[in-house]
Amino acid sequence: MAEYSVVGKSPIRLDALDKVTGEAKYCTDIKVPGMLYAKVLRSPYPHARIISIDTSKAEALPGVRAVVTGKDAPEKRYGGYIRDQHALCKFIVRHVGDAVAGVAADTLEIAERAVDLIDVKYEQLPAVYDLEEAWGTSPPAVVHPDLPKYEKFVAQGLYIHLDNDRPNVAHHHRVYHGDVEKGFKEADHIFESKFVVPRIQHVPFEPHICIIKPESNGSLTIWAGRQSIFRIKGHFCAAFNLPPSKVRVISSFYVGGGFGNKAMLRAEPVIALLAMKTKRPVRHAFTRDEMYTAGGTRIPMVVFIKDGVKKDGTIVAREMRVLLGIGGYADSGVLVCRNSSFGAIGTYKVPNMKLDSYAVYNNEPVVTPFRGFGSSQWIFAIESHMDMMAEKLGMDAVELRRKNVQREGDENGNGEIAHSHGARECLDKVAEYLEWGKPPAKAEGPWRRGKGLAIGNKYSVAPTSAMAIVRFWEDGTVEVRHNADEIGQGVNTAMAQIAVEELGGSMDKTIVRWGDTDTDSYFPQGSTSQRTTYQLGNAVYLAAQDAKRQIFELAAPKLKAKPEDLAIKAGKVFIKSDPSKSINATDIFTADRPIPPGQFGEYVPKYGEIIGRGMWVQNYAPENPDNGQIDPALARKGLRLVSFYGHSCQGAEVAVNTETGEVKLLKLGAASDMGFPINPKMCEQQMESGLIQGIGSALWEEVILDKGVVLNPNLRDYKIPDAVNMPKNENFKTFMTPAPHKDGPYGAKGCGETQMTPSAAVIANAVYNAVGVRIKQIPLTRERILKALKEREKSK
Amino acid sequence: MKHTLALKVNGQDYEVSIDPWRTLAWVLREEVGMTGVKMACDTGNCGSCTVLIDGKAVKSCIMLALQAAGKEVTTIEGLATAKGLHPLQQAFIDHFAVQCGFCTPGMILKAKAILDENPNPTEEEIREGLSGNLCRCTGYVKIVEAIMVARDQMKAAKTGKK
Amino acid sequence: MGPFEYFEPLSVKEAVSLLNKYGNKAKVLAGGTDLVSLLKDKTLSPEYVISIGKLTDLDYIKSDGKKGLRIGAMTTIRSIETSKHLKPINCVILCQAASQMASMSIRNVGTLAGNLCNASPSADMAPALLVLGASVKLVSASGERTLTLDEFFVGPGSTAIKPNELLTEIQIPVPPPHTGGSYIKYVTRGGEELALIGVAALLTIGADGVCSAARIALGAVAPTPVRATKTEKLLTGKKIDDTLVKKAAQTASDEASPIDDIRGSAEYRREMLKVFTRDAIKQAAEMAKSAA
Repeated sequence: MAEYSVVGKSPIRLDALDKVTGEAKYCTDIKVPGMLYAKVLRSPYPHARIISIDTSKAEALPGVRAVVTGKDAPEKRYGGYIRDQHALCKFIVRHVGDAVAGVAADTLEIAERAVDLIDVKYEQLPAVYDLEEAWGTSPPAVVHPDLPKYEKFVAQGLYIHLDNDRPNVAHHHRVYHGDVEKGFKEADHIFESKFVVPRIQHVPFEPHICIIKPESNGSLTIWAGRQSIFRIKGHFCAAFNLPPSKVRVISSFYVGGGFGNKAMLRAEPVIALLAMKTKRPVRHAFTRDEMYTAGGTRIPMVVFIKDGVKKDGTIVAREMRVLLGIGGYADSGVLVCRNSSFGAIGTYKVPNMKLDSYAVYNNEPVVTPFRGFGSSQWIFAIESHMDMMAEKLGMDAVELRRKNVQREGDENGNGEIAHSHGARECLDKVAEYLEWGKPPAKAEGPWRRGKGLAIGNKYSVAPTSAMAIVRFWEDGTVEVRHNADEIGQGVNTAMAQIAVEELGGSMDKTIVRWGDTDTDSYFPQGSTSQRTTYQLGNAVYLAAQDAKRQIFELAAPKLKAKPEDLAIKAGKVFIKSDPSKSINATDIFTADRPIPPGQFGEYVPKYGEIIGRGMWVQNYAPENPDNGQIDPALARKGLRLVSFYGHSCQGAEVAVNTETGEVKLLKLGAASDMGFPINPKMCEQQMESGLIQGIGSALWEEVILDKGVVLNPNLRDYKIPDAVNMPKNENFKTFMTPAPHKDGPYGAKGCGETQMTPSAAVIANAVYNAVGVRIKQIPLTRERILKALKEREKSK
Repeated sequence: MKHTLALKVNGQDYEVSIDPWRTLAWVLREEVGMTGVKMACDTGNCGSCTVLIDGKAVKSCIMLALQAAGKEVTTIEGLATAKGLHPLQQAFIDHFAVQCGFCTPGMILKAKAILDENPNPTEEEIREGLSGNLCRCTGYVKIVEAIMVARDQMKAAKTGKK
Repeated sequence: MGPFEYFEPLSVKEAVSLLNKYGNKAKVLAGGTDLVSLLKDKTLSPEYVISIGKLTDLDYIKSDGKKGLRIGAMTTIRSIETSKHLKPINCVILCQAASQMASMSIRNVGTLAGNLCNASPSADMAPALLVLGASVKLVSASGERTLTLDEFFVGPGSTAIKPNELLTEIQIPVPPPHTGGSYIKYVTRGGEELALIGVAALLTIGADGVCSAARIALGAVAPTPVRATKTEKLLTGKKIDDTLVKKAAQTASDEASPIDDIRGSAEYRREMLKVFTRDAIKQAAEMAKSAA
């Protein structure tokens, strides 16, 4: 492997100093002069017709500057993939928390009081909650009777397929590979199961927030703590019929966590109506409570899986039918419906496969992307099933996985040829760490110990592209300009490392500017789909090459050499074949006056500034929307539907209390095949983060609903992991088993989302290993485990 | 009726005129300008708004500002001295205990309260002490590691002085 | 939150006269960790908030032979948790209960009196105080009275305290020699959480191994924290052995009246009562043996 100075090492994060001193600024800390405060009135009903709205009392309240309702909203509906949503409900509310009216006032308290004074008369309509019922051919309620008439469009590879017989189906995605019926005939054993995954919330610590200001030239400036500012901008422009030059989205500050939650429009359309009406900047922040009802949640799923297996453990057929509960509006749910199927595609060789997934509307809260983009839910089913099958076949669970896991060059269920596939190495690493095969230590009293592991995968979606700018300053400082989002993953540090590596700079002389759609580095999909390191990393790498080309061009005459013979390192430009011949890189700068010693030049001839531009466009092969297959000829050329697949394996040793159902985490491990760790410590952060978030979903987290009403919209009763729940550090290890990617910067690819995909199955498998009960629904609460133990007792 | 509240924040005296129902977190952010005080849950469950009052950790979002009258409040902005960062701040940087950063101020102040009370806590005691200060990004591994490192450094510095 | 008027009386007398004036339009704020949350989510909207934060002379833990143990209304949970006075007088169960409540940051501010007046069925200090036979001193403009805790708790969020009364002190008779106590809080995740159930046991066990007095109290399984009197009767006068403990645990489970809520089902709570009543009795018995 090439020797690098900066990448592959772990320089400290560029954001860390500001974050430990309180200097770090987030959207919530921004104040715009003249700013008003907004509150949104939300529907208390899961499904109802709006009969009338009387805003007179609210408008009369001193300090109220504007009230908006559905009448003020554009006739046109908006939405990322299906335009099914008005900026404010005009006629029908479709979930508890649906936006009905908005108020802007001098203070938040006044806005809150005003919202309470708005009198809305509703006529309640029959509602539908249960996923299988909603999916049916005659559901108790149809959430969008006009769905066939709505505008739909192709984006990110998604072609919407409605289902004529099932009125709540917003999309039916199909992947048909090989001949599944033939496969089942060849199988010695057939296994079938149903798994249930509930709704969970991301709980980014900074709730959704935006400030929208109408500018004097008729444009709008939006400050928003979000992920992917260009997507936000694009969807916003479409919602209000505005040209790109009239909307500027700024996120040039830190974002308090994302996990997918901040990738789509939330309250921005309502707040824009208020801003336009008042002609003043308007700020809106979600309460924690609103995050659960209207802030977007992960998609609950019901997963049916049927596997056909040979006696020796070879999987010959897999059929899956998956229902996704997307709530009242399609949002990104339809795209998750398609992309989550990749969870079934990225790990194992399955020659015959039939996957049908359905995005199903119901009268429950809206959903939005969540770390894993649906793959986690599918993988919970698949990886639980792998253990169940191994037991029935009398095979070791690791052996069964080894036998079926894809290797470089294998064909997958989309017809792609696997590349950069480190699942096997991850598996071996975690099995070794868990001392797989060695029985767990005997436990005391009511406790029983067990081990479990699972493999996960997560793609990064294509088509996709990224642009970046790298500037080389007259004092040798390296500047990176990008439009990814600093949501905590450390993008600024990783991108600076790449530019500094290429320009021979140093990490303490860097500037990173980011997060403003009015600047000139386009990144259409932002920090989502774990694309940033790979896509933006490539763009930064290319931009640095462009800057380097300019530097060498200007240095060449000074060194009496050809540009192509030069190299740059540690601030010096030198001749590759004779490094003793060098100049300071900053010597290429000159000025209109003699430069006094210790001072710097001001510009370079020809270019003025050294500004490199880099653009990365991902090569990609489209799928046949009827069966999810790509053209075999393109596949053989190495083209794929996705940019890459990331793989991981995680494992746990647990103790389960047979009297209470409590699960103690004794030992945790995670391995990732991230291609190349640009910053190994930050890769560890992602591995630890994904695993613990996955464990939260496995053991405690569930948004509990009763007829569409969230019963636990707070951190008191929605329980995320606490420091005392985790094992000691000596029993929590992460491993890097890089599988270099031919197109990644230095071979790197993303790893953040992959890390959450196997976790739920890890816990379910370990619990089974400890006490012999198979729980097919997460979370594995203490009560659920105890109930299963008691039921087993009874059936004995 | 507005009340006049006098309190000391990070060693400086402040006098603000506030409605009595304002929380301490709100007053620190909006009136005193200490935006390092973060609010994530607003119900006293996450600990992001943790500040020190007379050296003790409290959740400032479930405390009225007037309850802090006459007391000494320390926010994250007051932790570093002219000599430099507090060992906890340095350890959080060096050991990658920071991701999105929203819980970080509260986490560091809670850690300070733990170490001030018990200069030699075990890892279990540190985790026990951190309970109620939640982090959604890190998995706590590196936070706990940073606190243990700071603990050892602070201990060594003390013995060194003797 | 708000609006409300805010008072900070400097004496009990002043506090009581404000309560006399504003009665049920007022709420008393001690540490505020419960009250401020309830004000924020508008569960409570009093017109007046009377902070007793300035009554620092109510911050005490005192014990003497005659009067027993007395804890002032402004004593924080953290002070109780770390108090060295309680172990020698067989009241370590209070430290144990205090240490399990919420988190350090909340225990630093929250008070024992506040925990009781908030009257949550899951209040962590209540079961321990119930088994200790605690009383509360209520002061009003017209005098003072003392209520036992059994009389004090009326329903969820509701106590026998009158709108013009201030709880100034918690009084605890010092348990007899050879008494041991244990409080177990059971939660569904671990960490800062509300109790799914709480079980307190206080046993006095003679040299002959016979339990001469038994008190059991349960939290979060009835509208108020309650004594499990049938269980107590079963244990009293008998030798504590595994069979008896098992029977007692079953009795406690049977006599509780838990409900289904988002934290757990009634059925699961009853199951857990069996497990943790057993454990609490066993621990209390162990401690009684080693107690002075």
